[in-house]
Amino acid sequence: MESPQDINVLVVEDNPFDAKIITELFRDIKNGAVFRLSFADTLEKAGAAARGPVPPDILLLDLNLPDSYGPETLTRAAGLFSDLPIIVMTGFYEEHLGVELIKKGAQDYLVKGKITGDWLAYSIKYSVERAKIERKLKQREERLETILEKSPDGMMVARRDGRLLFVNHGAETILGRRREELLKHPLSLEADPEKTVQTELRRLDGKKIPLEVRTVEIVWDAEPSRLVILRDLSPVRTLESSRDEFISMISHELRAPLTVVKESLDLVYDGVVGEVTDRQKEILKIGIDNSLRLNRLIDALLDITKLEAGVMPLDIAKADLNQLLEETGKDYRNLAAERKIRLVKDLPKSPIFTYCDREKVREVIVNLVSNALKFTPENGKITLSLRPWEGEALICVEDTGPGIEAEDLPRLFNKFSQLGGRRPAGAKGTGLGLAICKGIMELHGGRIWAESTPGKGSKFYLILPMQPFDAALKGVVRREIAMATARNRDFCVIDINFAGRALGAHPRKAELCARAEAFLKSNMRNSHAILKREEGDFTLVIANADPREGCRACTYVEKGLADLAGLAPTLTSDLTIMLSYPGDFRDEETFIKKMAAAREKTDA
Amino acid sequence: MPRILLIEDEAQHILLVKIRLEIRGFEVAAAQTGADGLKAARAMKPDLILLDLVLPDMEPAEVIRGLRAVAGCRRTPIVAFTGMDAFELHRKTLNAEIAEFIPKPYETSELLEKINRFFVKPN
Repeated sequence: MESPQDINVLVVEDNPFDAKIITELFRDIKNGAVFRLSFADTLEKAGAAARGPVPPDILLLDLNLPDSYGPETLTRAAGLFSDLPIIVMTGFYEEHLGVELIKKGAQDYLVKGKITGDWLAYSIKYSVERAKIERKLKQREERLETILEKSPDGMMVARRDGRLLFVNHGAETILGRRREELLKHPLSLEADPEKTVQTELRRLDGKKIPLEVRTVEIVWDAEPSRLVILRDLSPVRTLESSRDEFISMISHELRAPLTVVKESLDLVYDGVVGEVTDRQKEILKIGIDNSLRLNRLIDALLDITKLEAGVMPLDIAKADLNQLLEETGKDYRNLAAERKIRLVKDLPKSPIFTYCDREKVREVIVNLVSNALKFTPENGKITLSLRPWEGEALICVEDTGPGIEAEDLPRLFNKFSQLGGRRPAGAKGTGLGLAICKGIMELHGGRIWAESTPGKGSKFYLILPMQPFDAALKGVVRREIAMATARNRDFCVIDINFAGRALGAHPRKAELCARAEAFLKSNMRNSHAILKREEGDFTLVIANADPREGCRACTYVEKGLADLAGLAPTLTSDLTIMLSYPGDFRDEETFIKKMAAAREKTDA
Repeated sequence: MPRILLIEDEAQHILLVKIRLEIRGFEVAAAQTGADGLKAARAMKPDLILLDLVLPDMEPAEVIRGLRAVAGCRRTPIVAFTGMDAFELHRKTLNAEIAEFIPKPYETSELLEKINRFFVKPN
């Protein structure tokens, strides 16, 4: 039986005398039984033996053989027996030869007749071990290489001067160039060692590729270098644009047939095509109501999709939250009275202002109040409260309904999470209301959550930051940057100072400011956001607009406002300031600074 | 009789709008494609154009440019039916050329009000 320690030694030697010396050396070895010798007198026979039933663990190689001569023999043997350790044995010691042989991959260089058996034994054992370690290292390197090569991400190592030292297959594919070419020229790619950069690369073949570039500082061959990781964002982009397409497709494709259904029912209901009985009208009304309900569901689906895609348009202005809650309370006063529910308001004495999209925040409160009305039984109570809380506004809608089980609370704000069994008959919602509320609050940098004691009632809390104009603008620009980066698009921010720069002390200032607002809202529908800074001063965020389109929009706004106020065009020529992404700024902090500087300069 | 040109690809919606408007004393001609719409505009010189923004053969901006090139239609008010999302509109239309938008589905009162606005003389 062959024990694991057994070492098969193949001696490649054509001289029978030398072969005998070697055999005797082995005989001298203490515990020499572990070595099993076999002989071959040509390189060719050695090759055959290596492929035989007992492959050797190590080769003792004479350089001068009938079929090969000199150091060349080692090279050929190394080619024949890959990974097999080779010890070269010659008759005479030649100093220059030794180093050369080791460089060519020999494990050792020994001179026959000048060594002892034990010396040979150590040399063989060390060689076999060394070869094992080398094999393992090689295997490990191959594994890493396979990972690097098979990764679809591009990986490159670049010196400080941009010269590439390493390029993987992924980088070849993404950059559309072979690595031999890439290694020749320094690479100039926009990169930031601190951040992930999204950029667009125009390849030699003209194709534009959206790229994500990450860089990591590394040391490569003792030289400070950078590992550059490239990711092709094209598949992600396709997904995102198909979502945008979905928004516009769903709205048209669903609403067109719905319109026909509703208008058919309306025509009959209105008696346009013949007399209708009350009973018939009653039934037609069911159809009409349900077509409207379907439309509400489409609206809600679109809202949630827009919120998730980050494209929900915003109309931001300074809002009085006390007033907002007063109004909502008033809107529901009659309905609450009908249902014999007390609607109570608990508002602070001094008003709370913040810059927000008033209509959207109102939609959230309306949603909560109407939910509370649905679930609160007769003689119940709904409390609408507002108070400042650590620099933010805390709004609470509290009811005395059946409450919500603790396990249901976490999924309350998920899409279509209407809670089974809890809903009174006839109260059918879209299942999206609370999810939309959550989206709207997050859009404002706020929060929404619920607390409840089953059997006693529920409390829905809203937190809205009390933010000045610039904070609101910063939030909007941050969202737009995220959106634009994800889709690799440009956008522009246009600052309009109509009141100050154009109107001055115009006698009809207030009226003209109001008309300017109406003009912007109806004509600048491509704005992702319209923010009203002061009466007559606005900031527009125009999505998907490059600087040229931005300039056109500025001209259009200036001309429109000049016409509206009956002013000479020269008076409105410096009405607007435009900053465009990514040319003028790449983050919201830079944007705010640049915008403030531009405003100061223009106003001076 | 005020003449309205309705450009809309859905025959069933054409039928319903025709019934609704003819009973109110409008003369309604209809076309189901952008190309036919332009032909009809040249032939009838409408007082108002009701335009659905999704047509099988042309982008809305193209139809509107075409209509504006028709002699006698340069200033004809265009009222647009749209099932599209208001935000999506900007990519597809020449906003400034559309006098009124009627989002689908609409209330009859809204349709009539937005059309009548162009026929009642302000005094």
